[in-house]
Amino acid sequence: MNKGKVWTDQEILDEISGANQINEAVRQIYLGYYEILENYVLQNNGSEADAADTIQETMLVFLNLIETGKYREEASIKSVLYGINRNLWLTTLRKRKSRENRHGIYEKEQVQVDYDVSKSLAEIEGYQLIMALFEKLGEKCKRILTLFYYEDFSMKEIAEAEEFSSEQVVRNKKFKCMKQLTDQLEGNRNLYEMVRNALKDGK
Amino acid sequence: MENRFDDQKILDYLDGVLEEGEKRLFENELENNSDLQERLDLLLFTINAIKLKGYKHTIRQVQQDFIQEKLENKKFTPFATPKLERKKIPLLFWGKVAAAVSLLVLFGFIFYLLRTDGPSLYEGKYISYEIATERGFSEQENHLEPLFLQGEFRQMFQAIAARDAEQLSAKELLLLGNAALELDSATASLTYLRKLDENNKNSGTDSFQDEADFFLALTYLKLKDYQAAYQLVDKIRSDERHKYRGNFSGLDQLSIRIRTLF
Repeated sequence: MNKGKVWTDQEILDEISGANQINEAVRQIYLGYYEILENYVLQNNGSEADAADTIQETMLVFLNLIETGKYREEASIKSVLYGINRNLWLTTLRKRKSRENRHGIYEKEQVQVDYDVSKSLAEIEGYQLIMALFEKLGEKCKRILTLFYYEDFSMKEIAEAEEFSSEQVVRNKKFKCMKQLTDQLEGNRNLYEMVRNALKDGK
Repeated sequence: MENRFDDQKILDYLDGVLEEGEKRLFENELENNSDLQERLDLLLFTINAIKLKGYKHTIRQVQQDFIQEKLENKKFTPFATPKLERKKIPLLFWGKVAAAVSLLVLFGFIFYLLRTDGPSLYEGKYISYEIATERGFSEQENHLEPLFLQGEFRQMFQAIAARDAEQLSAKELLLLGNAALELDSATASLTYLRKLDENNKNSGTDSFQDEADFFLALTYLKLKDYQAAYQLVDKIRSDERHKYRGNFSGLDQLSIRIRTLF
């Protein structure tokens, strides 16, 4: 894909779901939509830093929608991003104590949370819990799991990159790492229940 | 219900490495075993969390670079000059000071000209294209125009995705070139505006030629192709009837000229 060219929505979606040029696809989204999303936050009592945080989370929810096959292709990327960004920012405002801001916004806008988006938001909360547990794993485990599940490396490629003696060794190590992660999760009843709830809410 | 399949098997299934026969067995079991389904859901959820962690890292990196670029485009660092001490000094010294000041002014002037590089000139000179009301547009043009007016620039490229570049009219090429500039993609803009310019040259027409000259000049500036930008700015400024003559000053032209020397 030519990096100088403006990508269409379909090209962006294809590159993300095919896990090909994720960095460039995300960059294209930033180039095309950052300003619109930032303006929304700025015009609704937010600062540039608020906008940056909200947009970062918006992107995560958006990518999760694609990853979990919940992105409806008839909707444009712009409208989906705008919807997520608005929901996230209104949720942030709701959490803040400023009654003034809260009333200002709710009087102006009726919050229509898209069903799939709200499910994705619930899922993300569960993911954040697992991500926190993931951070506690050893460096090697984090590398193996990231290479396999995010970078789409094969066992053979991981064995070469991480200097393991065979694919089987990587496979065993990967299983141990996953087990460590799930054990941590199951060892904390509250956390486990929260993740199970997020899982149910996300369905 | 008890699970005949352990986590290793479930992960093998999710990783797509189970053999066909085993996979069928697993899926049959899955249909009737809610505990197995629940375990699979949890492991799949965990895998998605790992993927999301990767996405989070990517997003953070891209956003950091994007904001940095954005800030750099706005930033201007003033040049600090040291204060001179006041002393009683002979006339010859003042002569030297005058010479030094003249040199300083000259260097300052050159510095000013050099400071305004292509992208910063682009930022200063860029104006969004305003569509003039004209009659007789084709259906396709009518299709692109509302998108352009509504700021749906990305959708414009989707609308023409299936069409051959040769079929695009002068107005469409101009609108697409400008849409690409609005989306901050000078490289894409270059393709459409050059095509418009070439079409005019080949057919001996001058449809939207003034606009093509101006926005192409800006595109070249953004891409730091100073030679090409200079030729167009020179053309625009030399033509008394050029619509965009007033958009570049003599100083801008000189600044670009200096850039062509490096």
